Amino acid sequence: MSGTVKFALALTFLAWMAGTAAARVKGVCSNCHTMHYSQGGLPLAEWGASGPYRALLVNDCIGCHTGKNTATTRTPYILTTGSEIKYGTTGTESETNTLAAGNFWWVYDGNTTGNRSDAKGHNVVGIALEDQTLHNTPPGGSNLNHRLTCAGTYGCHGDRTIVDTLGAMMGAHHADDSTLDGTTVGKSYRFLKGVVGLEDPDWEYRPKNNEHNQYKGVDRTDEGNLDPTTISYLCAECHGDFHTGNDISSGSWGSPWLRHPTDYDMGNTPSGSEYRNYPGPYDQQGTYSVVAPVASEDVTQVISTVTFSKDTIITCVTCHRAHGSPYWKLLRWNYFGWPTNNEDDVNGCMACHSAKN
Amino acid sequence: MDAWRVIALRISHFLLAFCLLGGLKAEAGSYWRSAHGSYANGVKRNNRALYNKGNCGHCHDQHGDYGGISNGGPFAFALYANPFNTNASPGNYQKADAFCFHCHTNGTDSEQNGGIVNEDYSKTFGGYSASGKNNILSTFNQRSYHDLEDVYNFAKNSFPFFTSESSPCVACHNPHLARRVKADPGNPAANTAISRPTAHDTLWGDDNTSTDKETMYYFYQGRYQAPYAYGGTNSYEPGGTSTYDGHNLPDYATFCTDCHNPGNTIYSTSLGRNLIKIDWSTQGGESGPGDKHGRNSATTSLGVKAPYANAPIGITLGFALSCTDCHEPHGAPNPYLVRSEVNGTQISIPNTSTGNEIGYLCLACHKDDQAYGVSTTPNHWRYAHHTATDHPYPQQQCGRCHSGGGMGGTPIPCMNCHMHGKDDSYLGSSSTGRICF
Repeated sequence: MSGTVKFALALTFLAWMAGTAAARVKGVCSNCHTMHYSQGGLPLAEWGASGPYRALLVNDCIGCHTGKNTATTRTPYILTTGSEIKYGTTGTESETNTLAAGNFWWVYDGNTTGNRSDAKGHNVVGIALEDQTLHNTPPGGSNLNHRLTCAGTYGCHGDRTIVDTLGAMMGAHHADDSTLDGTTVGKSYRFLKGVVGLEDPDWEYRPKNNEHNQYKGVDRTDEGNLDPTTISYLCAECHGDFHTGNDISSGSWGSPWLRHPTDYDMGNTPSGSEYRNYPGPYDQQGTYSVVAPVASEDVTQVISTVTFSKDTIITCVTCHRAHGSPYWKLLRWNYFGWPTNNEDDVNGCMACHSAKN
Repeated sequence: MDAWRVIALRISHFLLAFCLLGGLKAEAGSYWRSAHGSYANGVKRNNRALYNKGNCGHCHDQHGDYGGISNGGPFAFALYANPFNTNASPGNYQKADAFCFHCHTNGTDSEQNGGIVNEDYSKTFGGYSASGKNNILSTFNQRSYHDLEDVYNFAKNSFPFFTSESSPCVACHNPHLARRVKADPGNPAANTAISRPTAHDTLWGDDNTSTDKETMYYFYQGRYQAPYAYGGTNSYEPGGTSTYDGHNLPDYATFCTDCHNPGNTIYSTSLGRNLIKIDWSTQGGESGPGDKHGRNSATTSLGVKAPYANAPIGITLGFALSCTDCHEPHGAPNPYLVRSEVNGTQISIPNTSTGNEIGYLCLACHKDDQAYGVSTTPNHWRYAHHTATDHPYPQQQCGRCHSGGGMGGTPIPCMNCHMHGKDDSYLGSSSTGRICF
């Protein structure tokens, strides 16, 4: 084999690797585990203080996933302290260090800076106190009668048939995730059991239109046309009224909407409609925008240019960040603070509602 | 294919793509500059304090709830309340009957922070101070009004954008575009609040050029003479300015005839019949078709008052009027949505049944016997019909048309002849065949 051919094969392999999901943990065991929760007679300072932890872990979910994201960190940090966190305007700017789901900082009960609010994140136990307005009833859903957890029956990640948070996630980090088909926690998008999608290797650290998660959506034709593999379906397991049931559209499916649609492809709008100008002020027409990401039925590849044919599907995460954001209602952009006295100021709604500027 | 043909083809493809994409581009800031989207004056509901003024959330609850509490719906277009109640009682509309009324009601009931004052046309643009109606809801609850369910039914069957869930208000207004027209009464064209039902996605009236002809000046170019504003003879509608040629007035004639045209049959619940069809464009001459208050014209002379007599625009015949010169858009204290002030004259049409009550509207511009100096009583019209230049009917043949005997007999009800689209065929053998409106 010539040197040129070897080099080409190597490049091909690297390219393939770069496009492959990378959620499966790598590195030495002691990064995450300790045999005795003791090193030299004491727990290490970088371990959690509340151990020992089950599965011989050095910390709990929140403890391991608290930190500052950089271009080289290989753990997705979902809680970053206020002195280090950078969100920017939409969480996609060059200075941003939050990830696709945002960050819990703005709902974290340790945030005493004055920008904390129950309405800026999911009040997950261990991070935030109970929501003083909603308590344990998610908008659009029924009372959970339980605090929200990271995983399990009362959480988003893991196996939701298992109440125990850790038990619901058992083994997931070590699973072969080369194919995400939703059959197991490890083979589900971001360990959200049942959901599929294409995972950005750096969890959308400073994403671009050709480097991002590819969310799974479905071009519904009926309110009852539900696909449990979509990201919106997962959200609807708690916020059901906003996605499922008979009160989304005033007809069988389509405008006039009663509630903002999800799992709806903008390709169903008239060809001259404002929605066909997606992403509005954020890029050239037809360019995928990480400001207001749209889902697709095909999630085998990252889409950088949309065709309005089952690849411009509105999802919950088109507007919201699942963990939290600096903005009310976990929105990706400062919707509540718009308009301003500057005509040129925009907000993410305009990515789709391009004429409402 | 040679290189030059390839280049030409690619350039044409580029230009085609450019044009197609350009067609999708929205006008920048169209909502921001609208009455509702204004950061300074836009919508701001008291119970949505967290939203900036002008924010979408003051009208739309995207999920049918706010703060985790259901809004009682959800409602169409993700509005926070029902767009329209088809069981409303016309002329006795309530705040809950139309979504817009939630804010566009009196200051006490309005959900808009600080309330909203919307005077009627006669006051805002005519300067008549005694109208007494200062919000949209109250203007609909008068002697005559646009019946909202009639509007709803007609629009639903006529305009693709209008759905069975739409509010009748949007037949004429696009809430995302409509501007704060009251802000500059002297130039409602620049701040127009209307969109043609046939072109809902764009404003109507704001373009005022020889290529985008959306003002009354261009309806029948050079033929619009603005009436006087109330209170003097030196200022004109709209807004009491020195402009008198319609450059500052949206082309309401074109706007209203999107519905009120010869091709549409529109039922009026309050009248119990279909509306008279209005032909404001055809120039059929004395015998029609075409209303002479529109592009059609009298051919010999007019007995009119200033400013139509010695009109500043320099014509003596062939004026083309705006619907708003005589009619209120929402409702009025007079029948047929006739304004409370026309051409600087207060109009109060008696609630009697002699048949010539509507003459009190006509005399605002047309010379009655009093204006001709042959009577001291207003709303008598013998001179115009029997003596004035180009009078249509000879004297001393009273009995051919008038009943009642005696000198002149009983006046003939005006609207036997003078009504949109009518001629004098009521007179039978004495008819001249003239279009009388």
